[in-house]
Order: sequence, then structure tokens, then C-alpha cells
Amino acid sequence: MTLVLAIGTRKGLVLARSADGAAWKVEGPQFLMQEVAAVGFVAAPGGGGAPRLLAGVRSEHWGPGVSHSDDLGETWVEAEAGSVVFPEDTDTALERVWQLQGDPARPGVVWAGCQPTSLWRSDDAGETFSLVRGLWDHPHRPWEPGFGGAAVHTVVTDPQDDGRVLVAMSSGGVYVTADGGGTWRPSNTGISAYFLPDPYPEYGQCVHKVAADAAGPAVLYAQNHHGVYRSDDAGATWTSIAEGLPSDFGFVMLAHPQRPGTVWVLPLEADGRRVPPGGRLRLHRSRDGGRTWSEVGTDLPDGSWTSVLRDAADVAGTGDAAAPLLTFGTRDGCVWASTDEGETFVEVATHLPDVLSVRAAVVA
Amino acid sequence: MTGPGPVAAQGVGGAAPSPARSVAVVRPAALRDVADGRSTVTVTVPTVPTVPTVPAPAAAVTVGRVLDALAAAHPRLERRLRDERGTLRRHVNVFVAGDDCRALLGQDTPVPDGAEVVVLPNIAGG
Repeated sequence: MTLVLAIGTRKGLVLARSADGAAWKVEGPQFLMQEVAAVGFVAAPGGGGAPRLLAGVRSEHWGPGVSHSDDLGETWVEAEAGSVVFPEDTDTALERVWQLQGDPARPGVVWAGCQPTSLWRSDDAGETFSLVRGLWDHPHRPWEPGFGGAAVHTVVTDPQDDGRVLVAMSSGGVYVTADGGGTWRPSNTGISAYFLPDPYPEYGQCVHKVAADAAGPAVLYAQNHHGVYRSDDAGATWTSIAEGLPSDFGFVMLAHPQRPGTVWVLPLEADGRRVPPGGRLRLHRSRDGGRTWSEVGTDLPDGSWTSVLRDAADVAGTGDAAAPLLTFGTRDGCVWASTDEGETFVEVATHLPDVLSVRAAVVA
Repeated sequence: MTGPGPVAAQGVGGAAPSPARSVAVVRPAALRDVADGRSTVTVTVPTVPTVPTVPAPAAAVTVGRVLDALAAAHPRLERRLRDERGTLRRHVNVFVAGDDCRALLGQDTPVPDGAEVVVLPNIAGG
């Protein structure tokens, strides 16, 4: 068993491998001088073997694209005619790929969240994508871009229901479809948009990340632009679970892949103070679906004035519920990993460019 | 300019107008991982059929049509230069006979016979 981290940075892709979660070998960067805002491990076409690794890359000069590797980053392929290409009638050009999300229940299906705000579906394991017209044609578009750029950054599918997909976007909030993407409705009841005249609008919230509980997507957790929420009705309504946290601001929301009710957040002080509270770079973990929280990460640094972006964190199941591979990377180029549910961490890499995206995989 | 252009004039003499022209596109080192790795890619640009009332046929070969030909032959390379709307990427510069096409007619800039099309990226950033 090999633990693998794909680390997308401002200036390229770095890969880290470990047999035990303690000693890591770091390689790269690949795609040097290209921003890697999205990485994803998805099921290999045809099943079996190593997962396919996807990278959403963007050069300031040469534009954005998606490449895939079927040998864990040894070689890369880019679709000759492009992977994510806006149809001519949209008169729009792709700016950035923010999210590459496989569908665990449907091998071959990959979702891409992009800028300008758009959702794309691939049925060939991420080689080519089609624009989800139902969201693109939604009357609420264009949504206001978040500070980092307009993005569909979260895609949650339902293993039991082909038609049901939830997305979150910055800004715009949460939208759900029940018909496979044909029609979408906002799903933000209870989520605050304190920065708007109406703090509880139908849409326009700046949801930073949504994660589904291990028990299934009926239970969801959201880290908002101020506000941490839980939904017990698949996103129809949201209630605050921020009590007990040092701050309700942050970008990361992770749910344990095997233990229902276990989630992690990585608080930052506030919108106007985007640094760890008191300089303590720590995760906060709940074992009870957000009712109570505990600080974890005894090896993480004090005096840290960096931040962690919304996709610069991940957790992957290892088969041992007590030992998922939990990881995050910081804007000052440090990557940390834990195999004891966040109790302790190992510093995997330092002095990288800003970490924009991290994904973890366990390869047989 | 009105009247027959050079190719049309040749046509009057009985020789068929050239249906296409080869144009050398010189690319920077950063783009040599795409296609065959050489610094220069030669593309064949179909020439527009000429009639006496249109400008000289040399003008029918433009930066845009050179890039269209590049897209047909090497789509991954062309996509580095233009987005899917056909717009030249912001930090990509295309020079024709030493002049930046943005300072001329953009992608409508004519590419004279024998002129190279040179792609150069802006230098910027940190």
C-alpha cells in the first residue's frame, strides 16, 4: 500500500509518496510555472490498477487545460482538442479549472467545476467534458465572483440517486438538481450572507466548501464565509454548528470517509484576518456531527500566519477507520499529513509555492 | 486598392492561382513540448479565391488564418495562443515581419509572402 499526495501549487504539481505515512518522498514540480488549482484521483478507466490522476493547470501565458496521467504522474496526456471547451454559442472562454471530482459510485464519471462559474461532466474519466447546460442557463447566472475567482468548487453526488447532484459556488451558494443537471434550485436556507443587505437571501452566499457525511449525502457540512453549518435534509435547510470553534471563518471542510459524524475544519481568525487564530495552525475535529469540537494536531506549528485554501486539504480512506490519510497544505508551501485522524501530523514538504489543491489516495 | 491583384493577374496569363501558401510560425521554447519540438512549425494556409475587386491576394493570408491553419494541424499548440472564442491570449504576442500584430490589424494583419509569424510571450510576473 502506498499513500500518495498530489499537491497543486501556484507554480506546478508536486507528488509525495509514503509507505507508512511517516517518511515521505517528494517529487516535482511538474507543470513548472503553471498554476495547478485542481487535482483529482479518479477510478482508472476499465477499473483496476492505479487511479487516474487529473490536473487542472493554467499558464498565465498559455491558458488553462486538464491533463491526465494513468501512471501516477510519470506521463501526462492532454486531449488533442481540449478537455473543457466552451461551446461556440456561449461566446465564453474557459479561465480556470477549480475542481476535478470523480463520482465514487459511477466509475468513468468526473465533474469539473470551472471559472467562469460552470459545471462540466465527463463520461470518459476526465478526458473530455460537456457543459452542464441546466446550470449555465440558470436565470441566477452570472453569480458574483468570489475574491479568488468565480468557481463551482464543490460537487457532491448521491450513490443512491443518479439524478441528484449538489454543487457549491463562490459566491452563489449551494444549488441542487434532482434530474441529473437539467434544472437547479438554490439550497441555502439558513446560511448567512452577512455581507449583503439581506443576510439570508435565496442565493448569493459565499459557501467555501461542502462535505458529505460518511453515512451519505443526506447529512452535509459547510464551511461558509463566516459560518459553519450542518444540514440533515440533503441541503434543504442548514443550522449553525460553529459553537465551540475559535472562529467560524475558514475555507476547509473535511468529512471522515468512514466514520459518520467525524469532520474537521481549519479555522482562520476572520474575513479581515485570514490567519490561524492566535497563530495556532490547527484543525478542529468533531466526533458528533458538529455539536462539540476539539482542537487537534499537536505537531502543528504556533506562530503560523499563513492560511489554508478550500481545496488545499483532503482525507482519503485507508481501510482502517482509525487511520485515514488526512492532509493539508498552506499558502507558505508546507504540506502536512496525518494517519491518526488528525491527532498528530508529519511535515511532508516545506518551501513549496503556495499550495492551492491537495488530494490524497491510497494505492494498492 | 482595386483591380486585379498579382495572383489574379497571373491567372489572366493562364497559370492557376496558388491554392495555398506555406507560412513559418516561430514559437518560443516554452511551447516546444507540443507537436514535434522544433522551433519553427510550417503551416499551409489556403488562399482565398481572388476576384479583381478584392485586395491583393497576399493580404488574404492573415495572422488569423495562419492560426486557423495551425489549429487544424496542431490543435494543442494553437490552443496555447488563442482561447476557444479565437481571441489571442492576453500575454501572447504575435509578430509579423517584426511588428506586433496588436499594433496593426490584430488577427486581420496581413502576412506578406515570405514573412515569418513569430510568437513571443510577454515577460511579467514573479
